[in-house]
Amino acid sequence: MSARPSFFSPKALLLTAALAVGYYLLISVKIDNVNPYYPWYHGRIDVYYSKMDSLAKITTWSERMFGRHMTNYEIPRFILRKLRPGDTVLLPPIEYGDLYTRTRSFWTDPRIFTYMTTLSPIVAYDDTARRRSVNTYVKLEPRSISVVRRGGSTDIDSLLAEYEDARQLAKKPQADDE
Amino acid sequence: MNDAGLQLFIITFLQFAAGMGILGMCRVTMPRSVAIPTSVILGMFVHSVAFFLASLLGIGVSLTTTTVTAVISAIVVNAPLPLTIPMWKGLLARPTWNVRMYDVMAWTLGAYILFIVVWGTWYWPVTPFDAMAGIDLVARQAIEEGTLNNSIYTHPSLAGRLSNQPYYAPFAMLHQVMTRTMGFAYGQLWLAVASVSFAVFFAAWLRRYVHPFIASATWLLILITPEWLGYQYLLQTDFINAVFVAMGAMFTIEAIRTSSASWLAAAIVLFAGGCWSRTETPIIVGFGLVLVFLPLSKQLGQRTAVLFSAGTVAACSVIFALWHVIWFSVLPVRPDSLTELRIPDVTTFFTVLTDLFTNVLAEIGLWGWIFPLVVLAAIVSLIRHKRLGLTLPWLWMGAIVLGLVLVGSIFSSAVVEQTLRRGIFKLVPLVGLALVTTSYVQQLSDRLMTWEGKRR
Repeated sequence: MSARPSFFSPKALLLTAALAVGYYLLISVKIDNVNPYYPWYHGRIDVYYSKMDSLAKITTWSERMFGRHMTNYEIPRFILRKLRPGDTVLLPPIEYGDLYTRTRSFWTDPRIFTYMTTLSPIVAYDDTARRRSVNTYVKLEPRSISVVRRGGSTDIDSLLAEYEDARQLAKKPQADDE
Repeated sequence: MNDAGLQLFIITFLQFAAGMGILGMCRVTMPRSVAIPTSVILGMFVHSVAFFLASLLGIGVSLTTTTVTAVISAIVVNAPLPLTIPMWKGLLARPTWNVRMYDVMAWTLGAYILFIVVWGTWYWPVTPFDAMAGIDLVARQAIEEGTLNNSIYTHPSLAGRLSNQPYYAPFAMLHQVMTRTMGFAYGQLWLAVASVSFAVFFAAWLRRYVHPFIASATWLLILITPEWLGYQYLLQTDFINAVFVAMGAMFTIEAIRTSSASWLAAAIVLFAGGCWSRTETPIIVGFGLVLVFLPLSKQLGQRTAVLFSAGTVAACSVIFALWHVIWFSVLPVRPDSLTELRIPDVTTFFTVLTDLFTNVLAEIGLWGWIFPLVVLAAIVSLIRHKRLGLTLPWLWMGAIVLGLVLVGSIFSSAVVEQTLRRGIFKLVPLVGLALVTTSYVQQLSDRLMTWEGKRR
């Protein structure tokens, strides 16, 4: 009963054109809050095709990790390199990290720190039970990171106060909203 | 092709072979365009279970384990030769597809998009927080220590810091481990294999119901659904879970529609795969079983409906228990899930339901136009034809929404805008199916058939 339509026919050409035009309109017409396919296509597909050549030049796995995770990759690795045997680092609260980095400081979470490096002698900021074993701290400045210990040039109590201030500062707007 | 690429190719072929064996044992007859991608997806499930069982027996994590478990899965599942050989013979049958120009156009556009999925999974490292704090954290350490039961669970720096992410249902974690053993630094390539397989399956599946032009257009629309495509190269448990659940639902629909019970056996395996990939799936499958019981018993008899329900419950229970009971009893530290449970009440249920609709489903930035479109098609169908069309996809969509809302009501950690948002992935393919099976789109399809010169 079926007369099979051929691959190429005026009707098939018309339907092909309809499909192509429909798709083209979806990804090309920018109407905010109406056409979500335009920003999606340009943000998720077009951007990769246009940058594929330059991205392909980044060949090492670690460079790609940095390209995606930025400071969340760089800072934990830097800290790990600076550790000495016997060191146990207190990770600062995320709010302290956020004061110095553009991306959210997920590296302050021990799981992410471990993911970016390896299992290490670290203590989460709010881990009060293990706080006593800490002897090393992380100090951030606008363009530098240092791993500091008691007895050095950095006043650790002031640093801990900075950590706490950053937390309080982050909480404040929420409290005001309430 | 480098060594890692060759390994991936060989392992994927072995998984495909295992999947072919499963389909053969299910005695389900399906076109090659459906059988090939379905086999890959089923084989991935079977292989991950075999790999896990090896770990349970104390065999270390290595490329040898990955390869040997793949070989064993393929051989064992294909052992009943009288059942499996016809499936393989079917691959050599003469093609019956009548390819048209617009098919080639749709496939070209789809391939252009899917290439980014493949490239993205290979090129970019893992980025979702949940994956870095959970499944891939465990997977990376498993590679380092050679065992799934590794120091992530016991190291003092993480003691009390692990939430439920490292305990997620294991499909994605196991595939991260296996793909990493092949030499891919970020794992993830398995996600591309699953994504491409599902895209091929879905392209073929929609053509069973509607004119190829409408099928192709719907397929493209689903493929470019922003959130759906994003998680085809972002590592999470949700996309692969959606693939299993949606395919299981589609197979039950097909069984009822064609009065062919053999689809149900394959559906059972797919639902088990769903429970192996996301923890809350048994609840959703349970709702689905209840909702399709009547149409199933009406079409295939009460005995078949009862057997199917019992088989699904048994398979899902076994697979759920394998991880959540047996493996958890092996681990030195178990998740404290009970503290996350709360007694559901009507207010919470309706709050979650309202939030799901207003904050998630209504968000076109996430889902594009697929939800408004299917609602519109349903309304037009009801007004013009006084009937919706095929109701079974809607029953499954109802089961998924009900299941997700119940999960959101019971678990305090299930956030509507995050957990449930990704749970919505299960709806996406079913929305495509619901759309093309509404009576209005079916009428359009018939008209298009006539206009193009082919009668159904």
